[in-house]
Amino acid sequence: MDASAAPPFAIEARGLWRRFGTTVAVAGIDLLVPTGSFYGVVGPNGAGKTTTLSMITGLLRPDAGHVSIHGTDLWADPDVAKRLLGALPDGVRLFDRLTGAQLITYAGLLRGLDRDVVASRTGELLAALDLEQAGSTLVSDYSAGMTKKVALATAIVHGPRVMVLDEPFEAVDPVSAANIRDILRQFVAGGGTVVVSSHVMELVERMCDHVAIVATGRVLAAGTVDEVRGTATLEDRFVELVGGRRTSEGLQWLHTS
Amino acid sequence: MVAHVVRLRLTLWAGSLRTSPWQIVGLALGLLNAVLVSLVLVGSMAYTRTIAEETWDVTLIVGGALVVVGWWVVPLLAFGVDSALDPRRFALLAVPRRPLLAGLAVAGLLGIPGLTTLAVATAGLLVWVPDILPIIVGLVLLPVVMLTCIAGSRAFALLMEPLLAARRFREVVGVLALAPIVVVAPALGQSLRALRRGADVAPALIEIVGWTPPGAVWAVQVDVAQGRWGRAAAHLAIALVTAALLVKLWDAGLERALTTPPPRPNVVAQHGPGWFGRLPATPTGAVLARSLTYWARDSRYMSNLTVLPVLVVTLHVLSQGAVPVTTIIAPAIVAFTLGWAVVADVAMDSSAFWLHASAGVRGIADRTGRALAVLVVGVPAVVLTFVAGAWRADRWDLAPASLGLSAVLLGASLGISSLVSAWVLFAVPAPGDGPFSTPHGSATANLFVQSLAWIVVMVLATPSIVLTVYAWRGSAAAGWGGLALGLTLGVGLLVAGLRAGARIYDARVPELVHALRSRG
Repeated sequence: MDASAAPPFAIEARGLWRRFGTTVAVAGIDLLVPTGSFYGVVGPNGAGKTTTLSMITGLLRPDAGHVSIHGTDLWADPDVAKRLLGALPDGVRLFDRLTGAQLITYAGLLRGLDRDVVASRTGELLAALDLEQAGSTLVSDYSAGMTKKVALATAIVHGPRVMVLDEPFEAVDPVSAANIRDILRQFVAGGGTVVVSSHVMELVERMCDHVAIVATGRVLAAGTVDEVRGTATLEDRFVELVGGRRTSEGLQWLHTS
Repeated sequence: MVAHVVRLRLTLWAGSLRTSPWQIVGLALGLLNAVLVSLVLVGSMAYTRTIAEETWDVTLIVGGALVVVGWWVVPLLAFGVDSALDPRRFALLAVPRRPLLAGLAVAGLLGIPGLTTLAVATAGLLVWVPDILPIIVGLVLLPVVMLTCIAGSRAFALLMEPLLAARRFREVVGVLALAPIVVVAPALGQSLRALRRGADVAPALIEIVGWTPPGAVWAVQVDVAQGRWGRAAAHLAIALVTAALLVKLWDAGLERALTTPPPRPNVVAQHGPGWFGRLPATPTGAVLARSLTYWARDSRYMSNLTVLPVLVVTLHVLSQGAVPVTTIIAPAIVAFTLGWAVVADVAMDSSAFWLHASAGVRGIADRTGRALAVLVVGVPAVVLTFVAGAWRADRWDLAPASLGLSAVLLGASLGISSLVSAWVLFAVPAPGDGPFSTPHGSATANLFVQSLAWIVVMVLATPSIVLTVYAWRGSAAAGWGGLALGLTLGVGLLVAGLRAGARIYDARVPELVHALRSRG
């Protein structure tokens, strides 16, 4: 398709619903991610971030709603849409009886890449993510941060156009986190689109150009970071929208002196 | 404290029951099974009593000793210790050790094995009626029996923990299980032959087993019934010292578990892409390479490979080399078991399966890759098993019939399990757990689907079984016909199973990912 006809949104999710038993995890979320944006999804624990990100990456079927990736209907034509996507889910295992290099190779081959392409990309990814030493170690022996990094590598080895990363910086050391941020910024500068979820407001504020605040399965605010935070900081705005701050009068017994 | 731990155990049970109605069905079936087993055991005990008093003595002492040894050994090899009450989970709570020990001991009773043992041991006492004295002694000694069982099982598990944590060791445990079978089976054969000759081995057996730690506690009743008070006192002393030592051992193990972190396995390194570099660079080739890597590196897969030689050797020993068993039945069992091994493959991936979903792997690539890995392992295993049998019996003429039957069984079970594994997630141990540790998920679905699928496999294999029987009776034509039929039918069923499995897989990928993620 030519550039002028390309839809403006890398991800266009409308009216997403998902229920687990009697709990409604996601209650009608719209998420419009412009192509070429660095999009942050923030929200308190249990807000429905992971559920939403699973549904826009084809890992969880929504009860209702529609998702398209660069104009391709994800749930009607998952094969095409998944080729455009690089997903890093949170809280999942990896094939950890493989070495780091084998795991990235496996992800590349599953995506149908050539052997040579996979080999060279695996080497580059290990180097870029400071995992060269660990490439020949089983993933089951990795620390939490290393596991996160190798999972990121498996998510992007096929060169996606849209990355959807659930908590990509959790447990990652500061130097590696900075390296990952550089990789993501360059990816966005080259026309790619990144969606990250995070608890860390300053990180999102510093890194992202767009943000959505999600709580209790709904989007409370969304838009460019400047639009959403207004004159305050993102954290103040978040607390204002989400609520739940309490003055710490309780727990007096915790004050030992 | 005891009440606390017991309440915790019951709460955990209630919690696991609430997760799915299948859990309740599973518990009901488990209880029913336990009741049936108890009834059969008690019934046969009562029956032995009617034959002769000595028969009853043998049953009680030898059977009882076996139960105790089972408690000690089975958790190490088979089911894993009840991980819900892993003592390490209490490490951060400042719980005094001795009350905790008492609590765990009582909670250990609350399980199907504990309750069954208690029920059978109690009901067994009724056999002494109208003799009242052994019943009283038996009742008084019941707590000692249960303590010996529970303390022993926990003590040995804690004692072996550092060894079991070392990957190498865990991987050879299956092979170690071979040793007792090789030793016990001929001994059993010898005693059976002695019995058949009419020799009375019972007194010798009682004499030996009664003085061992697991047997002594049962011998006391017999001594009392016979009025041999000196022996009763001696047996009682052995029983009490055994129980006390086991409690001491458990206590020491508990102290170590509460104060030291769990042992970490050694770091393994492997350079290069391994199988990924040697097999075709396609999704199917990649799935095959990953599966083969796991067959060689994940103890849950390896246990299949270590258990099978044990099985074959056992068959050879127990059948004393009977030709149909070693040349036809043994390869058939190996073929069937390995074909069935792929049924839990997706469940074994656990939530790591997201990678297949995210990469958009086609169902046919996923199914075929996993099935090919089984063939790579299974075909040589079947052939080797046949060669071992044919060598021993010098019956190479049975090759076409035997291999034909095995081909059907391998193809049918592999095809059906490829279909089933895209549809039902079996309960399996989590990645990194031992092959025999408590599985995650409902084991009832396993039983139900498994029985159904096995019946289907048997029906599909019936023509081949018939031909094999004719070949065994000497018809060479039936043998070659069986081979042709077996190969055709085996390959056909495999391909059909892969295709159907692929369709189900493609439709259900997100549901599989979700179910696996909620298992944790």
